[in-house]
Amino acid sequence: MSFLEPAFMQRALIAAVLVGMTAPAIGIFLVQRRLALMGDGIGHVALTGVALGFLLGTAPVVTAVVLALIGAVAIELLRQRGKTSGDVALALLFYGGIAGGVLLIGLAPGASNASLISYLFGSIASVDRADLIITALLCGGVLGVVTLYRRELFAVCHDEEVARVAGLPVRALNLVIAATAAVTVTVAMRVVGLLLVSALMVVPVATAQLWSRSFTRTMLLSIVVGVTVSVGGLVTAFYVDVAPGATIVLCAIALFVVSFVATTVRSAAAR
Amino acid sequence: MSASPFQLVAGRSGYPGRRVLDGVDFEVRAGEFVTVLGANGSGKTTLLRTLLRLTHLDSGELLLFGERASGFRGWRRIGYVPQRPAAPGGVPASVAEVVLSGRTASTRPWRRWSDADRSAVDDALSAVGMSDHSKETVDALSGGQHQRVLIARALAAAPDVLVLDEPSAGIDAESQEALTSTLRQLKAAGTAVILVAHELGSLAELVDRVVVMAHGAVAYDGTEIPAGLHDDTHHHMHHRDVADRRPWGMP
Repeated sequence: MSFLEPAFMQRALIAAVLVGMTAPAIGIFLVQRRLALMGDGIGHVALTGVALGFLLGTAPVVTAVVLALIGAVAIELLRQRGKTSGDVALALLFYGGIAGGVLLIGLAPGASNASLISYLFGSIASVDRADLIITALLCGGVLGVVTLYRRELFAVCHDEEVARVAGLPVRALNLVIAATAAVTVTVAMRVVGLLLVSALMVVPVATAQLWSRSFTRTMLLSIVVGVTVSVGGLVTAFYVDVAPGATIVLCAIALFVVSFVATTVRSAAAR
Repeated sequence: MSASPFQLVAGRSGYPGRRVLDGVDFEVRAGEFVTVLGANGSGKTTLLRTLLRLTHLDSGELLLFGERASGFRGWRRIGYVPQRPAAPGGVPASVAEVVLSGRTASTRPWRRWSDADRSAVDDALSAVGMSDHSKETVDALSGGQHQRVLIARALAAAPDVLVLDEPSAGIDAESQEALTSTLRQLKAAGTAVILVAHELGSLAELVDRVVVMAHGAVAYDGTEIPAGLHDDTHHHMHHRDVADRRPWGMP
């Protein structure tokens, strides 16, 4: 049987392509600012949001988006105020997010820690039509913002003080990055799971930058890598019958390792 | 006569719990080349950051091109060259991209880069003698070359005043020459320059006015480079002497 035949695989493939494009497109700005773990911090907070959804009886995705946005903006504000360093702010979110999720899910009637598993590790095969529409809208929104403001975001991530002196709205742009990252995390939660979300935002960028000498080229290449590993991992998981989210992430890491070895050999040979 | 790019009156500023500038009057007039000298900790970098609104002004008044700083919108007219390049990011950026980013504030998000933007980048790179390096990644450049790229980024927006924080610290002789020739051309074209420095070297010929900072205040403001500061090889130590003894008195 071809992997294209089942309807669930068709939907899963579309979701994989959308997330594979979007995650590195915003992830590149986090990597440039050396906030590569921010996606993880947001992901952990989103877990509290998922549990809150179970508790309130609403769609977990909606509460996850809301909590992820609050968490991302909180990290950004803490960082801007300089009250605490970025990594301490992240640590607070990591632990608070997991603890909040486990606590709230215990209070929710009929739900247990097991209910969180599909959100922690992804459930791309269960994406339905409504999920797909939401995914497409949110990914489209994130890609639109990144395309429209890529120069401003580059300037801010490259040199924040110079961008401020140049008169760019630095605070607002930082919040834009935080908000789009939060939306991306919640969207990617279905594909690879909250614990692995950041891998799709960071690893394709890390791979692409090995082959590039400019920001634009890194961005385009990281999107190609993101789509390739998402689709490749999903199809592999279909035939081998293993977890799709984990397979996608391992494909991404494998491609990074191959690229790392290849570029290292190449530059050694050039010497 | 056009308005002064910077005018600070009785400026006090610093960081939480630590006042650095204590009642500083400072002005740079249109087209003027001013250098700010002083020992480490004298307040010269804080003065510069206060002028750029990177450090909060606790009291006093700051006018930028004659407008109150709080409502100022003409940031494109100010070019800033930080002392050190930002820590290398996790993503490579080409020389052309970094210089082009200097024009971000003067374009609109939905517009593509125009021919005018690209030719401004070419001009800025040629002004600093880095035209041949536009496709290289900035992290692969030497310190002096990187410094020249940051100057080109500031020049790309065609500012009316250029603010440089210790541009000659630790750069090679070729970059030092390029810096001097770039600033000479800018001065001839009527661009005002503020140069914060430890030592002037070959830049001394360009300077219209010298301001020496000591202990968060202006210790000297005049047209002559005070004796003992010029071509001083032991500048660190000597500046401290200068700051402590204040040999020229207050004007």
